[in-house]
Amino acid sequence: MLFDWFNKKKSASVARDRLTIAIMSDRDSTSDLPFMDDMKTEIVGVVKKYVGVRAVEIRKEVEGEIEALSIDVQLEPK
Amino acid sequence: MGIVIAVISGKGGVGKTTATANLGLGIAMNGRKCVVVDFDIGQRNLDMILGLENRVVYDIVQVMDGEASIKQALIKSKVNENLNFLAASQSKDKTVLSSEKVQKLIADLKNEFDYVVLDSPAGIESGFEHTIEFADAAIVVVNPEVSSIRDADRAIGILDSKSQKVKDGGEVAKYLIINRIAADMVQSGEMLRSEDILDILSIKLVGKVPEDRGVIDASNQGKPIILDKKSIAGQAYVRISARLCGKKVDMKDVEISDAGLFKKLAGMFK
Repeated sequence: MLFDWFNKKKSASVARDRLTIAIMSDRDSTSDLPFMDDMKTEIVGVVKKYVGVRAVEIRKEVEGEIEALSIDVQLEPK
Repeated sequence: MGIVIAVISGKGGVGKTTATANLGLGIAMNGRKCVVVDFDIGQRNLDMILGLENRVVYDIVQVMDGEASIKQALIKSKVNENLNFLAASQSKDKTVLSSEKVQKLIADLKNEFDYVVLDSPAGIESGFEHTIEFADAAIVVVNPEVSSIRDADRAIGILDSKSQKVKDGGEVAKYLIINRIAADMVQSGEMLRSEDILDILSIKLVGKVPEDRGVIDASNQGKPIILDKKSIAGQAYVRISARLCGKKVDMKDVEISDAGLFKKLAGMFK
């Protein structure tokens, strides 16, 4: 019992660890892609030549060493 | 030529409007000509905190649309003649703002005042972007709590990418206010320490404001807490305002409260 009490991690340090990780991944997915808006506009332009486009979403995904752009193109409903 | 400071937070309800009111008044108390502007279109609140809600005739949207002059819309504070206020529009929504209109309004205000303090809406939508676009500096208000800090980081990211100063190759100065610090919780390890918050957000600290129940009482009356010389939050705003006016004021460690120390001593003799 007493042992547990001494080992219990204070919630402030839990908050610090969780925040550090959450913010790192938030920053990864958005902040270093300043060209995002331009790229979206160009992709919409190209796809629009062939089919109707409703929305484009681009995300940067990081897994270990590999970085990838994931592009979702949502089409106009028929 | 005045300096434009946007007060931002990301998350709502952290005390951004209270901070804006108190800093505006604090800057005015330092002898600088200051205007505080409510940019939270559709959710006018700064007028209540300043106790000026009955004197609003024209709002910023009417000024930007040319329906009223700045002079007509400016409201002079009753407590300090250096402080002026421009109200947000209550009836319209934030989509009425445009970059051109905002830029002109801010340029005009800069010509007349030493400090132009903008209270931004919560969130990171268009209303927020308009508030930060032409700012020289930003004050980020957070509570020592995970959702507030995470949202603040997002807001800082947008500030860094959308600010005109950054687009022109410059830099927006960013200063952090940690609001509602409960000293006893920090001491017992249940609340994030300011060093941790600064580490995570990596921006400069301009002040720490302790939790103070008097803030509610002050807003009930429409008298900013900075007017209450005995209030610990009020004293914190006095220090922060002085820093914003270029004075050197030591950072008070509000995380060790006298009350906390007393409790601890009392506990020892139990």
